[in-house]
Amino acid sequence: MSEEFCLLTLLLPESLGEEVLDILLLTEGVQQFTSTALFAHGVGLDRLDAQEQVLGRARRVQVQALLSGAVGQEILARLRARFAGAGLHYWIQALPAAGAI
Amino acid sequence: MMLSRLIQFALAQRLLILLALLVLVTAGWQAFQNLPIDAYPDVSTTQVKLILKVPGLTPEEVENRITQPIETEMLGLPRQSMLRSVSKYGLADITVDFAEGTDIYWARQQVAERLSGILGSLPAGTTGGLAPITTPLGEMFMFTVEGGGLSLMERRSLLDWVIRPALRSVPGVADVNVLGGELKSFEVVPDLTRMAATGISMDALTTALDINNRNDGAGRLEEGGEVLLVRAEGRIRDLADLAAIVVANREGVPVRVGDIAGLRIGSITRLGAVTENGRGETVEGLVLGLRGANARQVVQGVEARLAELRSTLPKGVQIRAFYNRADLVNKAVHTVSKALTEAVALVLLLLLVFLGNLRAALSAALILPLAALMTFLLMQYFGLSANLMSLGGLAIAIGMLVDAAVVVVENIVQHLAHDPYAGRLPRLHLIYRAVREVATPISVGVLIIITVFLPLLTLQGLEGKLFIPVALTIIFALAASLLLSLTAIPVLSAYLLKKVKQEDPWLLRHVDVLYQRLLNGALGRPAWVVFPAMLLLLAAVFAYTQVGKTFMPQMDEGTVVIGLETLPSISLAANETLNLRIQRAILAQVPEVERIVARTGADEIGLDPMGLNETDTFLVLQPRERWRVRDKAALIDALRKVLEEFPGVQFSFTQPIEMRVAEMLSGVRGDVAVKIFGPDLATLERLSGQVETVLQGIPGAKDVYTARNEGVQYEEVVIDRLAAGRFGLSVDAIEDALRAYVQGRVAGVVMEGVRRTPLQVRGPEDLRASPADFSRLRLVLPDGQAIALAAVAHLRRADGPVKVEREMGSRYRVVMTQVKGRDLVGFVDEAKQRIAQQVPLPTGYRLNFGGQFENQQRAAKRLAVVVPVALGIIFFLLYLTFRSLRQALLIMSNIPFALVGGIFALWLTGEYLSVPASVGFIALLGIAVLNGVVMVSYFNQLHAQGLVLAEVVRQGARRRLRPVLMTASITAFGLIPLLFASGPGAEIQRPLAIVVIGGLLTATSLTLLILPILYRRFAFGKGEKRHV
Repeated sequence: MSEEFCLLTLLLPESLGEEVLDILLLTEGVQQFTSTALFAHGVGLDRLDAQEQVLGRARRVQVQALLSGAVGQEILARLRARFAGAGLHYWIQALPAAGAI
Repeated sequence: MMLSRLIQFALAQRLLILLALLVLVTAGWQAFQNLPIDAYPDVSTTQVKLILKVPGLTPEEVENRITQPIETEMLGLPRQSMLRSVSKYGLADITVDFAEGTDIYWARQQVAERLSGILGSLPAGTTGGLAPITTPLGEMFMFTVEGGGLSLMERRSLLDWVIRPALRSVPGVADVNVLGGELKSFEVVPDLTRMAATGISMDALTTALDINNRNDGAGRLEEGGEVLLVRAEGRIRDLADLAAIVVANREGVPVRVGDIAGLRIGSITRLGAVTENGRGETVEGLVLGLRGANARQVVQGVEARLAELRSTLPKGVQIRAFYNRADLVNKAVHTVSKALTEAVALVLLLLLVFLGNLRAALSAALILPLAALMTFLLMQYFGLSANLMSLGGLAIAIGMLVDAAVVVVENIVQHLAHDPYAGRLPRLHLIYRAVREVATPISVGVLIIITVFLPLLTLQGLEGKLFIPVALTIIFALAASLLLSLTAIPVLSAYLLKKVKQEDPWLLRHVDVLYQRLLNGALGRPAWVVFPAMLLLLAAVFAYTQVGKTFMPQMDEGTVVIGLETLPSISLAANETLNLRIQRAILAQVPEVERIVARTGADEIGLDPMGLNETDTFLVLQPRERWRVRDKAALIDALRKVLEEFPGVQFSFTQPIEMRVAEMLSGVRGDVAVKIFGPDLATLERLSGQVETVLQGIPGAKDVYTARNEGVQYEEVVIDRLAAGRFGLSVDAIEDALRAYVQGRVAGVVMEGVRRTPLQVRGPEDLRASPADFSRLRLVLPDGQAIALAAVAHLRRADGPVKVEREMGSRYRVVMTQVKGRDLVGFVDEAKQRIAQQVPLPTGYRLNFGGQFENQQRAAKRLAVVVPVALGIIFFLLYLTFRSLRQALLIMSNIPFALVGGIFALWLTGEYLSVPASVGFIALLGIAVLNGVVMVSYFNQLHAQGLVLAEVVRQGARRRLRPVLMTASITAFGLIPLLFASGPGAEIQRPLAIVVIGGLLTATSLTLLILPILYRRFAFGKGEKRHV
């Protein structure tokens, strides 16, 4: 029963949102994922557009995806190949449990 | 919140903002180029003038037969505010004033409708009607026609038939008035003996003239395939044609006009004359601008048309202008624009000193041209013209315009210089924060300043016409500056400000040290600051009572007009001789006078129907540099000395526009006018004499004057009804005949090309030259026989009135005086008291004080209501901002200290408290409140961060020292050029500048010292003091 779950969190520039979401949709092993628009702080100043410079914070889309097994690395590899240098940030957490009721 | 959005948007869309600025600059420049420019705002009320002429009728007859019926008809017109009339010899001048804002064309329509109902019942021969649609400021261009060896009559004819029609079609010209010269006429002088011999009556003669002077068409004739048009020629072309007209047949012999009358080219009875330079007569043309016309464009158009005409005029004929409104306009605009440029330079310099950074100074200073251009755009949109007052408003606003931008830039500089985030936050964000921090205080501050100017918008009458443009321009400029300070200035700063030095500039460091010491002292011993301040306040109350009060400083138009008046019975020729002598004396003794043109009597249209004894003398002055005397007052003294050498000549000094404006406002010239209403002319005359004596005895009265109304000599013809009836003569017939002999009766028109020359029947010249001959005059009976006038009437000499003046249907007389070296209100109070004591009024008579002072009282009354309302609004705004009654009151407590300085400044400089000075106080009010807002809002911010009150005021005051000092000194420096400006308009702006600069001195020092003390003590109630 002990299937492994991870939570992949991605911070994407708003412009990449759709493409990344598409990749996630088409990847097997990605169970459910959410996306939220939010502000990111501490982003390198050179990555801010005019509006963001004024506000002093970056607009980002945060994607949280529930992954089963080892797809995490696979997705990251894909994203690296596809969006190198685009300013994506990620982190992966191991989850003790996940499921549907 | 909305403000933050606006700032965010601007900073994020910098290119868009730059683009918008580009559009603004282009459109604003365009607006500036197209704004109608005049020297003064149009101060005229909606006024319709009726001018009716009946040659020969005496004043009282004119009043009875023309003025009264028309007045009765006009009284009760809708929206009417005043009805005035003057009945003079041969002329009735009726003025109907309408309520402000009434459409002039609508008003004319009302008057015309009522007039048409009554025209039929006026005496036969009445001509005239509604005067041209011009205003008292309409006299834009005056010239004489000279040279070419032409006679006066030829020059007049040239002016009437060539120059006038050409100029009338220039856009913006309402009419061209014509003065002086002789109006050509064909004269038929009946020879009474021959008429009696041939048994021809006057009627028969005039009828013959009337029915024998026409060309006509009769239709078409056919000749083969062609058509001929039939024309009958019978028009009189010259004296020979005239002589050949047959009046009657006597025993088969035709009696021609030439057989019974002398024929000659003569001139119509002259109403006035124009003399020049002590040399002789000339002919004058006067271009009247249409209501609302752009003075500069009109004058340009007139000059261009005159240049075109020049080649078509007879050789040697010159058109010499002696008054040109454009000169005044240019001078006035120059005064203001010079002050503006100087102010901009001063402001830039100050910014540099305070900010220690050229780029920062530039980014703040850029607000000036931008806000000015936006103001022009708004002025164009709201139909304001550029004139002394509106441009003056802009000059006044300069200091305040920069304020908002200064606060913004200063805070940006501060934030960039002391960036505690060490590059972790984007620069744009720092700018955004800096702007956001001050957005609310500057918006509230500017809104408050705008609010204080709102009361001015409610002023009425002349003061409203003059100061509403000032207030509107200031409001436009401030609103523009606020909008730009929150959008364009942050964007420009973002582009311009790169690296900012950590260190404050030299001056500021030193001032800071000094201020700290002072502030610590003040906070330590508050009583030492508060008590002297209270004493100062008390002293100001005293000073206020010492400051003179007046309505409006006199504006220098650069032209002097001398009004001269001699005995009412003087003949035109005698008055001309006298005038020429005076002119020669002036030219000889006052070298500053370059040229003199004087008009005596009435103009052709009848807009200014002066008597033959009245003369307006226009002096064309040398340029200032060549003057011997110091200023205009000295020049006038020199002129006064010359005029005092002429006994029996009353004189008064005025200026072209001033003269007309004063006449328009209360129908009289002069600072103070005492009107005496009552039914009997002789009693009025006596009372006005008494009032004149009383006024002369009051200190400060100068040029006391009442137009002499008695002393016109009448030759009264008292008709014996019985005797007249016996000869079959009616009263009408005798009167008509007399008028025809003396004045002349127009019997048609002789067409000479386009020139229409009147044809008149008139008695011989010697008849008019001697009363003795007049008494021997013979009247022609209906059967052609003649009898002596003495047979049906007896003659007697009598004195009579010059004119009958009426207001709202009641006769009145007026005594005028100028007031020099003294305030108007005090003078009027004293005059009222003395007149009440020394001049007892019979039943049915009453007094009324008018003139300039009327306006002042009205303005004072209005401001007494509206200023408190504005203060209330300010209080409300402050309360909304700070959500605290205590703090709102705290800020309002700044106001008295600002006024203190203003009052002292007036007192020290000896200026009067006038309407412009009051505008200065109003501006001061706003600035004082703005300082308080800037200070208190920062105190609150620090307090909210948890600082103890003692620290709050100490740190807060230190941090706000720079913006407070900057805004105050910039506002003051922006006004300094106005202090020293000379030229038209400067005298209006000077009192204002004095008040504001004086007030800023006290307001700023007290804001910096007293406000911290008061805040510490009063900002929070007992329960609220969380951090003591």
